[in-house]
Amino acid sequence: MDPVQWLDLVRVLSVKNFRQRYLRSRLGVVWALIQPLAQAAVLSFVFLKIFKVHKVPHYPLYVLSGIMSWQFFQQSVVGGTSAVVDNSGLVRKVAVPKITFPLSVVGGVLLVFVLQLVVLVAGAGVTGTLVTTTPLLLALSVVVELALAVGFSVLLCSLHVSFRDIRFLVESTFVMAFYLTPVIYDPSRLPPTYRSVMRWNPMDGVLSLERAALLARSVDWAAVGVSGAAALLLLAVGIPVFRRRAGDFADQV
Amino acid sequence: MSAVLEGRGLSKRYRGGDGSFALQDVDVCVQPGEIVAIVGRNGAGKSTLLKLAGGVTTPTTGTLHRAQRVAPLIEVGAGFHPELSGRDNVGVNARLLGMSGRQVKHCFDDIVDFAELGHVIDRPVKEYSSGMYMRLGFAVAVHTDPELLLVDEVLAVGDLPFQVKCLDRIRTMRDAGVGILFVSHNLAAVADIAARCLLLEGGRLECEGQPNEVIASYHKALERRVPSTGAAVADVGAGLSLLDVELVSPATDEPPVVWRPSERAELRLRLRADVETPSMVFGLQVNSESIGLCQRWHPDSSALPAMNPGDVVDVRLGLTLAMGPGGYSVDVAVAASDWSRILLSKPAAVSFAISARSGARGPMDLDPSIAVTPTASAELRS
Repeated sequence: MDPVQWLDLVRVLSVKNFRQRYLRSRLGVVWALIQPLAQAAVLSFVFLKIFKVHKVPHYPLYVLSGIMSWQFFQQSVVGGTSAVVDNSGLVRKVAVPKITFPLSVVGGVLLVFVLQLVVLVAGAGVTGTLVTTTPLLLALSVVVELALAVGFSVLLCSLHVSFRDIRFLVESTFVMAFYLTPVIYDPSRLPPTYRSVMRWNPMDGVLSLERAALLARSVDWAAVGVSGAAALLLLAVGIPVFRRRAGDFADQV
Repeated sequence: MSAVLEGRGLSKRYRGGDGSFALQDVDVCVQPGEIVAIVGRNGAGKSTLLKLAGGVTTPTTGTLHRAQRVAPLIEVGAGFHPELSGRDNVGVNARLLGMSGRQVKHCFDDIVDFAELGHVIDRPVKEYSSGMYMRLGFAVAVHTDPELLLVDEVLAVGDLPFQVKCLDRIRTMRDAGVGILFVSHNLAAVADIAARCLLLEGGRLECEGQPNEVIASYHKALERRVPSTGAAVADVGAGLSLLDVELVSPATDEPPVVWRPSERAELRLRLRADVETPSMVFGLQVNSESIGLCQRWHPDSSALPAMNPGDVVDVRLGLTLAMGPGGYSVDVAVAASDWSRILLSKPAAVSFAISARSGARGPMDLDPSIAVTPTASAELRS
């Protein structure tokens, strides 16, 4: 299969995954917008009205952007991890590169995320609530996050085929990692020691970039550096590991 | 032209398995325009060989050369996404088999026409029957312009007209130079369509050659499994021992090598009580190697008497083997009349094989006959 044809296959499968997700619901793709909006609304209510924390400017937008990014990352990695096992019928039958399966899961979730971002930027622009939009920084944050999502997915997916515990490990890790990632709070308000530790969370830099792009905050370039390096490392390790193990997948699923 | 599939000394041992070879030292070769069939019992290595041919797994040892464009039939339920429409599934599956977007667009109508699914192509495929799935899968595979087509049990589902259509299409593709590797339990179809046949047994290539000869050896191989002496089958279990069991022709008192369809057979058993038994019912189950359960039966009226230890009873059961060609086994069991306990259970007590009826296909044999009487049209008018 030549590379152009293969990329086309990844695209078609990504679109299929995206469509399959919303196809049977009445509201369809609108759910992709309702879910983060509802979550951000509840969190804003809790922190602004109940706890009366008014320290983070534009908190609703802050938390909404955080949740969208986090969901993209979480759904990509959780779905990507089990992608080969979930597609066992095809893995056993069709001679396409096995990496197609985790990639098209990430691709499907990416489509949701991009749609959310477009609606967010357009909606906030129309209502005048958007502080700023720096397309370059926004694009950079998406690219770095995509690289992280692919790196984690591919590596974990290749391990998940022989160690099915990985899936549960990943799911429970994400529950905890949510609180260790500045999704609903502002890391710049943490004590310096915690702050410097948090920079080692690869999602910290991604969120810093995204919020710099949307909310005119300053970029924490040290954290971005960690994110970028982590993404490159994961890809450099994950893809060769996946390819070496892929030969046995059809026998193991 | 060179072979579209050429494997030499293929062996496959699955990692994490019991260490045994699923396939051992098998040579396989398919030329362009040739139909090669693989027969053998479940677990003989047929699926493994197809996987190797499809390039989804690699041989543990041996060399394998395959053509660029290989089309497997995507299994029922495997490659289809139930919520998506038939139209979307065709798009996805065709691309998985290596077609470009333009090619899909170009032959989409042909695919739908061939599958005869034009009226439901925009419905979610979860509403399809298994026959409809199969038609769609087959239609996509044959339209991908393959050099090698892998056909796995295509004749297991789908109605007769479509099976005929599939076989016609397979012949057309063969004539156009496509190599076809064909796995089927339907021995009649194999004999009909294949130029060569491979018999796999326990992962090894048992024999290879003319389909009729290979099918005959297949039947002989099945026959070898028939136990004939009491000692071999004695099943000292929960109260009854099965001293002897055989399936014979009542006409000759001998088990034939291969049974004819709808031949009358007699199952003869000798049972010995090891303990004091209550009155009992006898049950049997006939299983087909390809389709599973054929019939399970226990007589409601005729019970086995209560027995004392050491008593021996002979049981004779008349059967008409109204089944299609293939391998079969018979499970026997005896339970207390009140079903409170099982006194004997002997799976696959007897195995046997049925030959194909000329011109017939399918899992049953209706022992058909035909009478054609020319009638003068004048008589009808009067």
